[in-house]
Amino acid sequence: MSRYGLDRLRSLNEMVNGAPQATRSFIDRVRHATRRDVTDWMFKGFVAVMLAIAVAPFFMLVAEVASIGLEDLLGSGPGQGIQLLTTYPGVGLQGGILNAIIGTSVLVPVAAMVGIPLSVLGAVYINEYSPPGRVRQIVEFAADVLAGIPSIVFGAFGFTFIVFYLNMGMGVIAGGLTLGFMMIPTVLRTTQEALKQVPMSLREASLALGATKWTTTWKVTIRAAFPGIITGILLAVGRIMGETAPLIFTAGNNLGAPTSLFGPGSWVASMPFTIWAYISDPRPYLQVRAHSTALVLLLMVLAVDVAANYASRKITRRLV
Amino acid sequence: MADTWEHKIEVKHLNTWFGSKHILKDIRCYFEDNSVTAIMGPSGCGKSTLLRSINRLNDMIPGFRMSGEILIEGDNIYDPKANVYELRRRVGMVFQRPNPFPMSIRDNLTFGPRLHGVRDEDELEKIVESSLRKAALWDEVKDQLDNPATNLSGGQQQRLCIARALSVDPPVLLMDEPVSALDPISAGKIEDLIVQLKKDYTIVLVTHNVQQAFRVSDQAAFLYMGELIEFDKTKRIAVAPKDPRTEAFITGRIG
Amino acid sequence: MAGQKSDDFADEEAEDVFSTVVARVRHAAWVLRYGRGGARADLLGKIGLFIPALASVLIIVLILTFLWYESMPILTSDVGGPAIFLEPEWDPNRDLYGIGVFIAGSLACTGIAIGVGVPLGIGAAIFLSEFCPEKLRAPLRMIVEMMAAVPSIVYGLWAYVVMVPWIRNVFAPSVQSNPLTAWIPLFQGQTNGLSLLAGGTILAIMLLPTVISVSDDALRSVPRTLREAALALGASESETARKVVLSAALPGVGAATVLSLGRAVGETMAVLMVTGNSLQIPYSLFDPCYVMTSIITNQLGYAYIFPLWRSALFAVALVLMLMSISFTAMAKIIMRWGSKTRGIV
Repeated sequence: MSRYGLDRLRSLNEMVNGAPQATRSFIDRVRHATRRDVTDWMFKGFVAVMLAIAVAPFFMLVAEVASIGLEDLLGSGPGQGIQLLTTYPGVGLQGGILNAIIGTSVLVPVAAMVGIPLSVLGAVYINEYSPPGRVRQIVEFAADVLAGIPSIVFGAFGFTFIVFYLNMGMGVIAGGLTLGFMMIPTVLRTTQEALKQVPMSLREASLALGATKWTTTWKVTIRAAFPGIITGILLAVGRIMGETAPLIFTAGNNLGAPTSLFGPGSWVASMPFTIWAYISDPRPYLQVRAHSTALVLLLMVLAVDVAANYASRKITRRLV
Repeated sequence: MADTWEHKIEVKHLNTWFGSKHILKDIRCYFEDNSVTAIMGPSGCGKSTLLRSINRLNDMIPGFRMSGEILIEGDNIYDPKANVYELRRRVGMVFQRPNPFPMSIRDNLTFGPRLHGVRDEDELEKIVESSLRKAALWDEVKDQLDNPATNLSGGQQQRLCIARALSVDPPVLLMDEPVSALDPISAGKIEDLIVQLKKDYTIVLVTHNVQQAFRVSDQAAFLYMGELIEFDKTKRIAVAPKDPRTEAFITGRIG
Repeated sequence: MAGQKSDDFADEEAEDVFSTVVARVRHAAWVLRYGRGGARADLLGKIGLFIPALASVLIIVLILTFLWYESMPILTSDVGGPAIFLEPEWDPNRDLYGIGVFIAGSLACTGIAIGVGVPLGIGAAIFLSEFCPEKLRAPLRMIVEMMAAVPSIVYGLWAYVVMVPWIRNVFAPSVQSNPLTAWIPLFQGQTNGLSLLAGGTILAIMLLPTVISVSDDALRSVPRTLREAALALGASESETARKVVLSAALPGVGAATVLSLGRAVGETMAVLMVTGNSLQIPYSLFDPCYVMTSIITNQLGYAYIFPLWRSALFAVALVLMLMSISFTAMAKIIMRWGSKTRGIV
């Protein structure tokens, strides 16, 4: 039976190129590794290698930071061992990094107090109340743009606007506010996504029982979206904990703990800033200290990340 | 290599497992050339697994194991030396939900031939036209071959998928509930198409719709919980099923 | 009147914005006065939530306005003017405010980062989504997430302490002494390691987690039935991955690329520490360069009191801001184009 197309072509090819005996079988039985198999293996191997290359630097980085950082954390010299975490730098910066730890621990809550309400409430408005259409699109676009703005632009803005224009000076407030603004795009977007995931039927069930939209939003929708919201917040916190550039211009530095909300007493150190300051310093023990600070910061950030994952999984199980 | 064979496709003592779950139990049946054989049964009885064993698509699923043989034209397709790519070229498949590639209609149809070495542009154009004609879709889309395939309606997309399966000229065509996701009118068109196509192809059709099996097929196999309960000419099963379970199925008592 | 229906006021199709706003305000007033308890609470809630939502828009407008306002002096003065974007000479002491050198530096650095990081990331994502054994997937994804969480300063630390000396002591000498590669113009020049290469590479490394995770998500969201259709036609797994899955996921992957472009341009600390910060346009991989984010970080503190100098730095910040807005817009356009031509996102 004459068939149009490939069977004829194939036998033509075989006539030209010579064919092993058994190719008349349905399955082309004599199996040499065909060219397509080789290409298949090569491609798979190639992308596997690409993955290996992609993750290698991470391991190299962790190895470097950990090996030198541990030297500090396990040592017994000034500022080493547990003193790293419990003493201030003091004269000659030989002490620990307590100032930085306190600094970051103060800046983050200030940022959170500004960033979280604005973004969560804003996302609730956008997703639950605003009519789909231009207003919503504009706000979503604005949030996406905000997410892409370089941290140094936030720093320059914070410096000029908050420190000088508003005359608040450098310190906890200026630094915290700037970091808070940086949190907004992340938290807003993740909250919005979490709210989108809540099925319409949940809201409808509540409204059908006679609840107002307000009650529905707070008692039903947000509760269902809670794990997603918490995850988003924790991720944003993890990010701002590691930010340096904005703080260079807005937080000042402090070898001790901040003592007031405004003025020079409000100047505050932070973990990333300390790493930056120490690595730029020629003294070798500060170079080492930069590594141990980086190690502690890495552990803090990874802890927050793990908490974010854990929170999203555990709370989901409880609510669902 | 077998020079003579009795049935186009023969399934011999086929058992399949997914992990530890025993899905198909000692299946023995055959599919004839130039005819439509329906595999019918309630949901979850293993029909799709049987179908997908014929083009070895199950190999992709981790944990799949099989024993037994499936012979096409006398050759065991599970022979370790078998060229799976060739097998799949010669055994085409149409899926339950239309799944055209997110490309133009033309690209959908030239995908298969290009894969298997056809480079000549004229040859490819001829294949595009002939596949669309065989699937009764040519007149409807001949002016929009460069448009995205996803712009077509559901019924048209499914006929496109049939055309795509035909583009590599497979002697065997496997169809996994091809019309269950379509509206009745499109479904009817495709059923007519199947009856047309059987003149040139060996068609194996999986369906859970008894009426469809009776309308379209020449032989029918009834599968229940992984076992082949009955296998005979459709006309005979429709009139006088031998097994009480078969009768229960075709009268709608089990679905 | 209490029983009056509010439909009259709820007409959303008013001819112009003004009458829409008036209608809304009248409706709100009506609800406040006559609404049953629930309706009133809903309206107050809606207003209360509107303000924070507006905040994010306001903040952007605020930042943009501020940057614009602060850049104005240099852009309108005789000394500078809009030409500064292309001028390569930067020397505030002599009233030269050419920021072209920084734009060139950023473009060069980002170009390398994208050229290396994006293909590598996409390839890694293809492995993760198509060929990776199930058991390895979760740990690998977790590693990618951890990579994304590492702060920029820590990447900078490692690059400064490990990569820069390696370039200085190992890579540059070997590449420059090997006759096969020594002639390549990209490899010319003495270096102490602080270079375009270092900046581009660490940027590429920092981009990888984003590119990998977004591309992986895009690839995985391609429905399984599409892969099966390709396999059923006789394609091998890698052919399926390349010709069907990747092409179907292209909009998502493209958007990921554009977004990484935006982040690369805006990356501050790591690049600051390893690019050498030298006022020259880089012509070789081993040349130092100065990127936009670094000049702001280095000089804003001193420049503050000098109006033109400060203004020029804000002009740089303005460029950064405009670039990030365009990249965001481009990413959205790509996603929209994708869903139009493919039917699936």
